[in-house]
Amino acid sequence: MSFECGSAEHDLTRRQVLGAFAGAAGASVGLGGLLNPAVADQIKRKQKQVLLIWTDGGMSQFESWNPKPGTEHGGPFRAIPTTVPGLQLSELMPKTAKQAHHLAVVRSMKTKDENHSTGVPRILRGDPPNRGVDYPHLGSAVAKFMHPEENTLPPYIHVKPGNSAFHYRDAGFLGAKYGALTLGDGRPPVHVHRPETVTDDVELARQELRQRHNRRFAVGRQEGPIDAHAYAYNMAARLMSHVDLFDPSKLSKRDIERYGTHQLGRHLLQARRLLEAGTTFVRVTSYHWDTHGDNFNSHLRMMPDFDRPFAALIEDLHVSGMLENVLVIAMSEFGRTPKINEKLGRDHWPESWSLALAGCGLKSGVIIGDTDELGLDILTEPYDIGHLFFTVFTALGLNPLAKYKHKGQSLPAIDPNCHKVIKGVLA
Amino acid sequence: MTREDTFIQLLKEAAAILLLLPALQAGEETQIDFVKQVKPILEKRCLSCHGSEKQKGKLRLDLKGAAMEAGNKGNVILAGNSEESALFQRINLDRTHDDIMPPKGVPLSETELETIRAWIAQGAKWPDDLVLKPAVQKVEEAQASSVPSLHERIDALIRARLKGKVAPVASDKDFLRRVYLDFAGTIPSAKEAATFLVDKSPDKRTKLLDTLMNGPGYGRAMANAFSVMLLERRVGKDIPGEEWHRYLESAFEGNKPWDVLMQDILAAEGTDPRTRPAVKFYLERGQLTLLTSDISRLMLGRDISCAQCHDHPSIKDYTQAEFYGLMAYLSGSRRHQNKATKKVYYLDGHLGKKLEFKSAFTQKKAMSGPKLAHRAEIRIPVFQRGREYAPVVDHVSGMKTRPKFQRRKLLAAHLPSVDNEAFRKNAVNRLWFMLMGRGLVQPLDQHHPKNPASHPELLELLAAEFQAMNFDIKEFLRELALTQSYQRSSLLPEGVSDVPPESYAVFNMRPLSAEQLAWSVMQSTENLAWVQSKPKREAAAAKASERAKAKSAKKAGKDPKSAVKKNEKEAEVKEDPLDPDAPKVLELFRKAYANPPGEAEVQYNPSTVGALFLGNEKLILHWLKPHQKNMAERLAGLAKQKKFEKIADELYLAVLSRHPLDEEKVETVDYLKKDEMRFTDALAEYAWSLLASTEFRMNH
Repeated sequence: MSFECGSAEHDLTRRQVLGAFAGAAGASVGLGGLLNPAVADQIKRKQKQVLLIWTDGGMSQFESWNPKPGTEHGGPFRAIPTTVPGLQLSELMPKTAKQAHHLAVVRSMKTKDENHSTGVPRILRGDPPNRGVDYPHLGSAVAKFMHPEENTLPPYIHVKPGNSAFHYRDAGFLGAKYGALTLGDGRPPVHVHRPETVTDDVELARQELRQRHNRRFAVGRQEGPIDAHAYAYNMAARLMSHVDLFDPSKLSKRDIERYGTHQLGRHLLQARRLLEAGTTFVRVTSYHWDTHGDNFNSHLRMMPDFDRPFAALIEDLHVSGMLENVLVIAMSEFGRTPKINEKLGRDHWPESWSLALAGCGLKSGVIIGDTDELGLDILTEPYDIGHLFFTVFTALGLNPLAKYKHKGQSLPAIDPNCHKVIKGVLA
Repeated sequence: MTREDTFIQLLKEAAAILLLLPALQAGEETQIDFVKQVKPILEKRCLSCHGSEKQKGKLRLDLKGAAMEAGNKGNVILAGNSEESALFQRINLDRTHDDIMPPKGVPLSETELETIRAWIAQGAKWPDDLVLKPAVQKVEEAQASSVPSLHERIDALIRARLKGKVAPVASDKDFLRRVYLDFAGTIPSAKEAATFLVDKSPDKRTKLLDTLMNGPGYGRAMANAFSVMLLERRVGKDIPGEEWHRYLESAFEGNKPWDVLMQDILAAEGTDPRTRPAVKFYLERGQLTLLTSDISRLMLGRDISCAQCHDHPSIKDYTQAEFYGLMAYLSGSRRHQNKATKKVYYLDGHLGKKLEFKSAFTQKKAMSGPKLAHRAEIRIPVFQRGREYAPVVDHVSGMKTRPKFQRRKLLAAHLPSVDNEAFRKNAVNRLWFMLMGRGLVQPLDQHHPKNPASHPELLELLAAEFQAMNFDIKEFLRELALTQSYQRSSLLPEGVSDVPPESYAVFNMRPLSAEQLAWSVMQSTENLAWVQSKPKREAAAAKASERAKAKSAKKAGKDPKSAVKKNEKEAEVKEDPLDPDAPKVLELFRKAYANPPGEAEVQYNPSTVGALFLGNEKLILHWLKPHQKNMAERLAGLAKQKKFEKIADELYLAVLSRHPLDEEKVETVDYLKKDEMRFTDALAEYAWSLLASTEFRMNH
């Protein structure tokens, strides 16, 4: 167990404790976001950020980024034109089609694992095979390498349905502090609100006393657990100072309407607020994309839930200027089989699937890679998950050849077999 | 039942029909020599209570005549009939039985039992005028005269691998807090702390240890630790958590040996009321693959979960055959609900088959019946068609037939056994982890040749000794607690900034569990008694209002019964969040500090949720204000007398179980006196800062 943060206490300033940081207090302006001081701050900082939209279970590429209408396995849906000449998307994403000029659609992903249980962690960790250690998830890796600015929210926040928790396992061998702070249903932990009896002055005084005790206790002791404990309090203070971020009454009606009141809609809107407030890495998870049965009705039902808030988000990030520094990744652990099974479903398919990228200086309005007429084989150069990680690191200005030091071992951050960017994505 | 009996019972139940029961070792019995073999046992284990000085139960065993005539018609020792002899019966009880002799200390070993049994059976020969004398040996003499004790041998093996400087012995205050947390599940009260710190006797540490291990908190503390280990925070409803907790608690209060506990759990179906809660282990998991993985991880220290699809790619020892061999033991068991009572069971109720498996790597297929690693496969008997099941009358589960071959009972007999090295090593490694903050083999479920123990020879020693003491958990933990490793300070030796945790040169700090935190916060703020009195207070209040209602109803000429009913309803609805009972408090702390279900608690995870909870939960803030004889009220009393230094002292004793340093005393007094008008607020703030400190959060 190793926590390398030195002293985690030093950045707990008066400003932060008192919640003076504007946060997203006025972040409800939506399209008028440029007027929002928080957003303006964020742009000025030029800090790179990531939004990972994870459609868990495997979104079908045929019903989204790589439609094959009228072919043997194409399914019942049509393809529609987009704002990018030559790029067609499934008719299930009409709103995204209007934002396509901000996207880079990659149609040549070829990965290795076709099981959820191993595939999800494998894709999220992107690790070289058979290293015998638990690699960090992309969010934890970025949190470590980006050196997030002080006085912002926890660097890695995960918005998903269900309960809130601190998911330290995401961090693998990096150690718990790089884990994901999970906000179940986008809500903050129940105790984020300070009771009125604890005034600002009282809070400041008691936290200062606590830090004094800790300084005395730390003398002559190993740092690990002491730092970790301080870190927990530090994160707690940061969350408390951003309480407004989670206040639904601060949302504009227009945003609610554009993103939708369904789960993924609310969660992507929350993600935007978290990004505006400076979170380094936000992951949003949507479940139930594993459509082994009734694939088409399922996508007919679920794709609009994705399309609407995704398009709104891309539009907002673009208009506010944040898209210049925010890298958006929309993906699953794999795609779905071309072959339609007897239950009108599609099964797991890592062989030739698609994902979408946007922002952070990537080329926009481009299509990367191509598959054959039936969507079975990739006709261009195939890319593994390591190539995606390599591309992400490069786009974020991180060194993709970086190594982790773990128990005396030197471990490559990215699978050495994949030390190459996805061609045509970087500007 | 003794261990042997349990074992044999399990075998019988499982396989008697098949005559799989091994022939009992008949052989020729050797003659017992009274003077050499029996006399030392009686002198050492019996005469301090049944000798010339004391004759408890009017029994003395130092004189032949008295011994032979004792009891009802001389039935204490019935020459030639050991089974009917009260002497043998009483020493041969299950160690958790109330009547077992000797009532204190370790029960007689199997060899000693066998000696007494054979001696009586062979006619209880005793030279007429040979008078026995109690073996009075002072503890120091006993130690000097015999081999070094286990904790001394542990110390020697740890020392042998130490390089460089070692932390000093933990101070009394650190030792005090440590043993309280580990063996009573809470920090000591201010009073207990003060008493121990002034005690000058040289053996006060050992005395405290023994007091705690035989005290009321031991069962609870161990039950909490084992529950976290065995269920990994799963919280299903089939067996309520409180029943499970009570089951474990009483197991530890009776010092149930590790192997017997694991046998109970592995064989549990939920039909036997004595062990029903143990079936929670199965019901919480349900899936066969998960059960197979977890039994292997938790009871054998081998995480073979990836071997469900293929041999482990890098650990040769973890094979797919091992996984399916273990799973085949479970494959006859199913979750079963009694339709009438709605109660749920996990029954060994199907005949089951050999399991076929195919490697995801090589596509090679194979079959396995029940089989443990390095053991022979259990032959599945072939029954005539239609004769595989026997009719039974089982009103509890509602089942009408049971298979004639029940494999899970065999698992309970085969896995937790003395000749299963993996079982023994896992047991001692997990107990070591509980007290030392780290396993000798780490991670705990990675026992394999490529991941050797930090001290292989120590692991061997512990496994052998734990077996020799019949898997006596309390005795084993006591030895660990007496080691230098356990009693070292968490302060680094001078000039050293980093020490590898596996050297045990410094005590490895570990966080308090959610349960330890809950108890310790209640203890330190002195709200524990109030919280624990909640059920009593509720009952009293209900009774009082019942009377009042009945009275007023009578006056109004109404039916008093309906008035009472209405009143009960009202009582249910009203729940004061600032006046919870103990289970509710535990639930709050678990929500804030425990891992999510299914995640082992084996390392410290900084919890932002916990920090927010402690800072902003109104109940915590309420506990820090004067109320019902709690600490704040007590110290407010001292404030009226202007005894601020005394307040500082009491505050530190209550929360951190130590006296404040001068610097801390000054700081406290300054803070409290800054504005005496707001003394109670200032006290609450200062006390909170101590509760939120790393020193409080850690077992250090």
